[in-house]
Amino acid sequence: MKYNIKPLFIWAKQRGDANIIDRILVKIIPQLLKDNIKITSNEIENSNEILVSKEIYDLVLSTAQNLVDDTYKEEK
Amino acid sequence: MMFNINDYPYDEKHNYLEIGGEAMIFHCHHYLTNLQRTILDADYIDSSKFLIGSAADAVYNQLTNLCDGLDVDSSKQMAQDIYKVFGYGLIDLSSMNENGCVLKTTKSFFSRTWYQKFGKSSNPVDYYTAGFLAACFAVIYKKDLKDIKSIQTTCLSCEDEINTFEVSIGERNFDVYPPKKPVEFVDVPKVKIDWEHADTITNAFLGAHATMVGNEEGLIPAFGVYLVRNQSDYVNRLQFEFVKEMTNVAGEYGVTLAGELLIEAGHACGFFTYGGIMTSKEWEGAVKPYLKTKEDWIKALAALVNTMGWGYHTAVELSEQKAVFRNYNDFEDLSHLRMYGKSSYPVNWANSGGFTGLMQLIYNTDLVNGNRIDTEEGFRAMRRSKTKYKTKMLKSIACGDDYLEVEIYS
Repeated sequence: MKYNIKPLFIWAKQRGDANIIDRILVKIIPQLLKDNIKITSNEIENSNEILVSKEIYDLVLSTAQNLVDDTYKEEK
Repeated sequence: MMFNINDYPYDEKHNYLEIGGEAMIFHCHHYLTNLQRTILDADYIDSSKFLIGSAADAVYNQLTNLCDGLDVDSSKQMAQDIYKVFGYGLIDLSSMNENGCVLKTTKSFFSRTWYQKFGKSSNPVDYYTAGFLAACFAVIYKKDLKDIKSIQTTCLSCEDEINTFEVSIGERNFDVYPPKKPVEFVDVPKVKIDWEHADTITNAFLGAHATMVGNEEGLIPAFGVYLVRNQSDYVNRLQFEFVKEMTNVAGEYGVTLAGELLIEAGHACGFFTYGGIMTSKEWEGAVKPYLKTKEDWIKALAALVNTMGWGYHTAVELSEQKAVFRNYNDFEDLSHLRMYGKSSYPVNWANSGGFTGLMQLIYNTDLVNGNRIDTEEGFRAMRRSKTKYKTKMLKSIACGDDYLEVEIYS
């Protein structure tokens, strides 16, 4: 099963630094590369969804929450 | 005072200032804290080695020249003076001896501004001063930088009461670098700023940089930010070493991501510092009477900052939709050539981000009507709600071009 990380980036951008998407990506580059993911902030902003493994989803979620210092609540 | 900034003439031909063999440039606290946080975010890189080493190398070169012929006490005074005049805070080297020192201070640019911008840090952040002190020890007591250990153990940014540094002979905890080349300017005909008042503005502010020196706290508050006079090769080496490490981790992808963040640091610098300049009383009195259009604001800003040592800024195309800026002898490219030689990609991220921030200020805020955004949250909100300007780095002296060229477009 794949999970969409786009909403996590949108949420982080609404609350964090102007460059929060790049900050999240830089934080987790080694793990992204293990999954062969090389995505940029432009690609994230221009795509409808970005599907990844549960491990990467959880990593993006925890990194975003740490950097924004807030808890993500999934929109229903 | 052993040191007088007025002893060092400004090179008007190359828009360049050199002190003790080191090119000097201003940066603001928004840029430097942003840059340092970007580097520290990549916690899989052992960045403390180059964060300290970059400072140690540049300051060692500079102090070696400035302290030539001075005795120990005079050399200490010289080091204390430049630290204060350059805006890094205050240090007292009287306790330093053949074995090193434990130095304490409550006046630190890096610790203070980090806390002000980002809040409490989990680790000490004044890597620059650790490097500075290593260089002082090496120069004053004729030690080899390779044999020195210099660490910060407490930090105001961690809500400690004081900054503490321990400098000694020991296992080196920072990088050292090979000798660098002398500066090589690129003397080609310049496309001058296309504005009849450009020279008037430049001439009005020539020499004004010398008034921006550390106050009684060793800080330079100006234009709503804290400025620092950086050794250009110190701050640029931080960028270059970071990108090198990111390349080792992720190849071209690492360069792309690092570049985005380095441009953003320059963007914040341009946005806050240029915004402060363009709402200052100096601007109000000496510049604003000449301004009619938004493009005049940009050209006037370029004319003014050409007196600050960052190279010669000019615009070859300028409209709200698109601008093409140039910088002749820009500080980042010259720095790369001195330390690393040629590059296969443009290396002028700070300059390019600065131009982007300038466009954002003039066309995406109400600054020209006196309404300045000067808070972190205001900056973030503006960046979220407005169409972003994009940055395309076109030319770089380090790539063999005659000048820096960057396109900013919406």
